[in-house]
Amino acid sequence: MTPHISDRLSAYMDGALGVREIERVKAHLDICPSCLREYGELQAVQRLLRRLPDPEPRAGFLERVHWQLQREAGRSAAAPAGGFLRRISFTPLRLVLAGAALVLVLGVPVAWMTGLFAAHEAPLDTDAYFRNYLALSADRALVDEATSTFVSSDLSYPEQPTTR
Amino acid sequence: MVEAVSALGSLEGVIPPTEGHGAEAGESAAHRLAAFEELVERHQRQIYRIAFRLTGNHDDAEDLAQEAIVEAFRAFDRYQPGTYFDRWLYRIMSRTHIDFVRRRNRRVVVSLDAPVGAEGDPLVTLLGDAREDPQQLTEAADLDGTVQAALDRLPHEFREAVVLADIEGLSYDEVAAALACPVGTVRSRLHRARQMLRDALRPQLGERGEER
Repeated sequence: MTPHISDRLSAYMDGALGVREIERVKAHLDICPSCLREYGELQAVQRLLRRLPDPEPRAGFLERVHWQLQREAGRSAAAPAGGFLRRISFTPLRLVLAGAALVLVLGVPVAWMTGLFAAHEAPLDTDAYFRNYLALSADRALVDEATSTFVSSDLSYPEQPTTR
Repeated sequence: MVEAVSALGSLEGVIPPTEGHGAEAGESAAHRLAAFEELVERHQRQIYRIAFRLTGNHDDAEDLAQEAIVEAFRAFDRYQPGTYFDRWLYRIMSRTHIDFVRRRNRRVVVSLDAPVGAEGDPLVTLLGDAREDPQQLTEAADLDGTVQAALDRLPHEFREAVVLADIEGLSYDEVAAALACPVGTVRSRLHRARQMLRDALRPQLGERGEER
């Protein structure tokens, strides 16, 4: 008996063999029940696949595709050849990103340590205060508004009730 | 979209316009988009059918189909008018599908750490909670669902071969072109795929008429 021809059964079924091979497979199937059974099973599998119903796309499928394409068309129009986006895409992007990350990771603590983030406190300008005090108290000598404002804000004393 | 296409008339076979300047460029881009969309509309059933049979569910089918269509649009200048648009798109979809499978495999690895399905069936965990979608539930109950589940379990190279050959009816040469592999590879993948399906679907094969 000729050797089994299982590996050629699919090609035989699909008409993808040469004339001589077709004859060989036919002759073998005439005498080999096991190959004939396998051939029948492969045919049944193919029938099952061919009979599968057509899946219906969900409602609005084409519309969603349309919007995707619109967006894609807009994107390619926004980045014309030779434009800025095109040029930047040629630079070693990874290097640029790594540099940016390094600046963030190292820069923040360094800036913190060197006091870049510290609040800048202006030294108390006593001369300016007294000039301001004299100007305010000149016409209202008994209502010491300037003093009470200064004292309550800077030394956290309870605010003095002012009488008018 | 339909209005835009019909206003421009039938555009299949129109050579994709080259880049122009200003208003001309805008016009040619709109022309290109309209021509492409008409082709997609004409072939949407095949595109969606393949995407569905490759992925096994509507969510992934729509994602795969959309990704492939957008990829095809980016490459539309390389499409040769007058050749089969669907065959050209299958080639693109086959590449998109490989990325898709890689991404999904990563997702599956994550979901395996999650608690298993109600019956502790790993397949339920892998396929996600089909229970929530009544449409998927009925599909799983009938023959279509059984066959699809068997397709889902094939290695993706085998599944692609059998979907293109047996569901789409492509020749070996056409499948080889779509999958960018030799015809001999198509032949062996197809045969292995059918054997695996036969083993998985033995109860469903029913009566077998041997025709030679």
